Order: sequence, then structure tokens, then C-alpha cells
Amino acid sequence: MTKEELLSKLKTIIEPYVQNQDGFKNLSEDTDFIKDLEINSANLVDVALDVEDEFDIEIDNDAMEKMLTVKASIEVIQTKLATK
Amino acid sequence: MIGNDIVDLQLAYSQSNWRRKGWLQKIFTIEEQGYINNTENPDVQVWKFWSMKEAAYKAHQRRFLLSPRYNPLSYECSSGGKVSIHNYVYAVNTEFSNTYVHTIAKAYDCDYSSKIFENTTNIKQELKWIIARKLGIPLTSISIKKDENRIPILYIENKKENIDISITHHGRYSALLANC
Repeated sequence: MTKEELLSKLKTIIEPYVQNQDGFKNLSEDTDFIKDLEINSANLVDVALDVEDEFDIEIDNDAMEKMLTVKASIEVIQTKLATK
Repeated sequence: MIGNDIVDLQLAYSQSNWRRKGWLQKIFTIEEQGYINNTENPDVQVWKFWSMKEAAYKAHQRRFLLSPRYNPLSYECSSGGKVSIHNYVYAVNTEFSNTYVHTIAKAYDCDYSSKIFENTTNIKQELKWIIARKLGIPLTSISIKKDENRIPILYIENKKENIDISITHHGRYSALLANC
């Protein structure tokens, strides 16, 4: 899977939880889920669960701990896909 | 070292489905899950534990100047109003109504000011007012800035002040906390 495909899937996953649409329009690798998209912190669990379903990987506690930005999430997904 | 967290229950019920498969396991320890599943009102218990973890996270993050991370499972709630992470224990105090849950976490015993607002517009301004009155200083001498880890820091006359502050919002509610 290319990084672009991965990013596009990730965007689809996070969209329902986004509360700042301007932040979503300007989404980049540096986008922070809480600060820029105003995703409620309890919904970050849903993001992790949706990522598990979409990519058929397991997001353990250490991985979830990092998933606060687009960049970190892409890295987590790539690492998990590589060890699948 | 203090932190506080508020949950608007009505919003939480619509924003999160804690019964979703895998949801509880990602956030709560086995003991916490057992407690949630055996209590009379699990909907409230979930958000009570959640606010305890969030408040303790804020106190812990400030104490050790930690960069933001998402590790609610590492914060373990126990009976008697305690949350622990690794070997650090935070005393928590949770207040309920039918519509919100609010928790204050403290690393050490200290005096504090705390207030909950419904539909408030400017919580930062409210916090400045409270501090100005407590310390008997002009409102305009107080400013609040977030540091690189997004921890709010209080400045008086542009000098970092040794007073911990914590602000929380969710839905219709916001709350503030300051150890003065």
C-alpha cells in the first residue's frame, strides 16, 4: 500500500470524529488530532479500533499511545503492516 | 501538581459508544472493566473512571513535563479515590450531577480553587479573575500561555508563576482549577 493510499484511508477513518472542519481541510502529516481537528480524546479509541478493522492489524497500548498526529498514526500503521 | 477534567454526560452518550467491541479493553484495566460491568449504572461509571484518568494524566504530565501521549490504560483507578501510574499515586475527587462528571486530581495535598461553568464563553478570563481576586493583583498583570507540551502556564507580569492551573471543556461544560 502506498503512503497516499494509507493517508486517504486514515482520512476517511478520522472524518466522523473531526470537530474542526477547517483543520480537516488543511490536513497534513503534521496535523494533531486533538489540537488541530478537535477530536474528542475519548474518540481516539474509536480511531484506533477503526484502524484495526480497516487494516486488519492490532493496535496495542504502546502503539495507541503515539497515535495523536497524522504522521505518528501513519508510522504506526506502516510498522504494524510490515510485521503482519 | 494538579489536573481536572469534566465530562458532559449527554454529549458523551452521543459521542461514544462504550459498548462497541474492544472499546473498554483499550482504555480500562481488567479490574476497572469488572467494576463497570457489575455496577448499577455502567454508563456513568465509564465516564467517572474516564474523568479520573484524564485528570490524573494532566497532573502527571505537568509534574514530569511529559509530551502529549494517549495512554489511558496506564492510569489505574482504584477504590478510595486514587489513580496510579507506574509508582505515582494521585488522589482524585469526583463530583457528579445528572448531567456532568468532574474530577480533580492532586499529586500532593494542597489548597485549590475550582469552579464549574455551564455555557460559559471565556474560561481563561474566569480563571484570571479568580487568581486576581485571590492574590489581590490586577487582572491585566495575569496571562496564560501553553508551553510546548500544551500545558497551560500562568504568568504574572510576564514571569512564570509557581501556581498550577488546569482548564477543561466538554460540550456545555467547562471547569477550572488553580492551586491557590
